[in-house]
Amino acid sequence: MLLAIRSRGKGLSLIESVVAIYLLVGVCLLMALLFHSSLAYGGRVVRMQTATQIAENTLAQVRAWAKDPSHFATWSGPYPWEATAPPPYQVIVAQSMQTVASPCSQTEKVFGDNQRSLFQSYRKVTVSVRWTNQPNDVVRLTSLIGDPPRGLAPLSQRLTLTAQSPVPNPIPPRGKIVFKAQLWDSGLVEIPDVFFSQVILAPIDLDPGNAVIDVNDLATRRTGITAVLWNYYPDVDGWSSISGSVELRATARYRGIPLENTVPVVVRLGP
Amino acid sequence: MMTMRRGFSLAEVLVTCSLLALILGLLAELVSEYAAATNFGAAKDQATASLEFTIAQLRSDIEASVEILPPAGTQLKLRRVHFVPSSFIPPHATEVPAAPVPPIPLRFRPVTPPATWEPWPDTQLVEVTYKLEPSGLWRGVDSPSSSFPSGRSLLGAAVRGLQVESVSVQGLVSLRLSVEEAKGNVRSLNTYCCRMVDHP
Repeated sequence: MLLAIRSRGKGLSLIESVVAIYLLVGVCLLMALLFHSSLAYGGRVVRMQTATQIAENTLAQVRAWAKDPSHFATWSGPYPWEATAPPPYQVIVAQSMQTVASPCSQTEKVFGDNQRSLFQSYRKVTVSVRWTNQPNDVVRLTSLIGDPPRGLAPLSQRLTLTAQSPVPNPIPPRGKIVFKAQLWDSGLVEIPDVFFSQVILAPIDLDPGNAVIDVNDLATRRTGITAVLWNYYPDVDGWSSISGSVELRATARYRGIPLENTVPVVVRLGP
Repeated sequence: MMTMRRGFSLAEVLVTCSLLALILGLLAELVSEYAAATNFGAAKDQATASLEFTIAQLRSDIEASVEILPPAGTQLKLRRVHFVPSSFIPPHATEVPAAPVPPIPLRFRPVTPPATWEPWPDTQLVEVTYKLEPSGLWRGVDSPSSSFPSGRSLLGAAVRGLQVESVSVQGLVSLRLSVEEAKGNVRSLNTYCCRMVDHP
């Protein structure tokens, strides 16, 4: 149309000019919208960076707070990270116990339901920082926090081995007693997720007996926490029982240090 | 012929020009403001990147630290673990001679672990110092061993303030960092870092 107008040697009419200006205004508005959108995204990036910093700060506070064994165990307030975020940011900390196979999931995979696992040693903590109610306006940071290392109880109370039922004296032939091993911290609180080795010995200063110990307890998933002492032993003719005494000992390793039961349990076996 | 050609009348030209001028004026102002915002944003991004890098390094050092030395104003000093993979080979391990055929990878005799042990001996620790200078925040590493690199590097050129506010018993370090975003525009940031190595 413009070409046609020009070919007639005629300029633009007012209407045509106004239409052209409208088009120009439309393009300008579009540009303004793009500028605005760009600035809005810039602002969103800044808010996300700030939220990430707040989340990392909160996670550091959670880590420090959880270094107290009682805090880690009970996870009850008041929490030091509450009401520390500046508005409009809102911090929510969620946590749950996380089961971790030991030594690793790859090696424990073959054991199926009988995997040796740490049940109370890790908490999965998720810090969410939100700045509006929109579902996308949130930053989440997730980390595992471990049970803090603890001081140990005095030697006599550190590693205990207790029978789970009254022990008859002597234990009758083919009788069994379940023993439980526990490790205690300096506050006499049981330390969870410790793996034990339980062995029987024939004490040389007493009348030595013979027995077997079964540590393959499905309920405790190969952790050695419980062991079943049977009053019999494999003989060439099958299973036999003899009278005498056996000593039951438990060992564990905590923070790389091997610990032995300093109070061995001696039981009498009947023929 | 010339009299037949009709262009804009004066009024039309005036209306058109004024509308166009108005739009161009608005557009110019918009572009100018956007350019200023972009420049400010770029400077802020640079400062933020510098600050984030500084905080990431600070976090890494504090989380790996076994001891935080008493804070002294604008200086932070700590001792941290410096991992060297070869140092994990226990010194008392004895190498088993490999069989000629087939080749067996390096093995060690099982050794009885000592009853007490020090997971982080002094030979594996380095002293790290953060110091604020007019040129920015500097990080210095002082190593007792020649196998670890000692030296000093400029960590954050835009950092204008470092204040160690507190160090809790649990190892929570509260820091206040200031960064110059644009000329004369200084932004402060509080940050927390927690020691993750438990040292008896």
